[in-house]
Amino acid sequence: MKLAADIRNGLQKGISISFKIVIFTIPFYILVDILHQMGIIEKAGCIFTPIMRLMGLPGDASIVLITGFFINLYAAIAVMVPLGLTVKQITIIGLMLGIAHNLVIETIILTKTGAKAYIIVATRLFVSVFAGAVINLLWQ
Amino acid sequence: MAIDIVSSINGALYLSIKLTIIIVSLTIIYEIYEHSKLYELTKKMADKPLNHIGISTNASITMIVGLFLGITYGAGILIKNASEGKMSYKDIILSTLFLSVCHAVIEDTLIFVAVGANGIVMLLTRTVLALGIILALNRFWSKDQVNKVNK
Repeated sequence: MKLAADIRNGLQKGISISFKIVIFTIPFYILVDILHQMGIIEKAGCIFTPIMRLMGLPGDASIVLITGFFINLYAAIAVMVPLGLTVKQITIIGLMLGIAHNLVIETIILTKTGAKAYIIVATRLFVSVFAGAVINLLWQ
Repeated sequence: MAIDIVSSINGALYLSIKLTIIIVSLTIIYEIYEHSKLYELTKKMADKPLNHIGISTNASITMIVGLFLGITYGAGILIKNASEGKMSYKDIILSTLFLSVCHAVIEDTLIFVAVGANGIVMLLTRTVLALGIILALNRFWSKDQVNKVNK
């Protein structure tokens, strides 16, 4: 029967695609999680401090961005809420992190299509900073 | 400092199981959809406007899935179509970059709106940027091919 064949094919393809993704996500997830537990990701946030003014954000917010870039939006929001930012600043952070977040895991998944990792990461980070700066200029 | 490796491994396994369940169920649904009459119908409807901006039908369906549901869903279908040779290299790069900038737009926006962000600004900017990237790449690609032919 055709339906049964479709289900069998889908199952086979699905398992082989999942396998290709999962063998990479497991070690990288563990690595990022350990770096997070050691506080290294938070410390790396300093590298963004000099360009934060471009996006109209305080230096402290660099920790929010780096957390979002490496981990995910929920972790970033948990770091962001205590900072007491304005609506404009929260929107800019939301926009920037919406474009670039969870970069390690998502890039692994996306490279399975055949695209190069550095192109994906560079595009996302560039577009993210660009979008943040543009909204900062336009929103007065 | 105490490092909890067990919780990292648990998190990694949980993520892997979640990814596998999502991808397997989606590839099954897509396989059925691909061999149904609905596929031909959507193909006819989507072809003209999307081909105009340089996206083939296989890529367009992937993008719509990823746009609303997220990278795992979108990429599962994208990887399936790419590995079956149904997409050109240009299609793959265009849809991967589009998806990487613009995905899970509903969930991402809502969680930031919940903590006080302006959702309309977030949504509009992301959509405009993603479309801009596609249009720019498409133009660049067409020129590139013309140059190759001329040589």
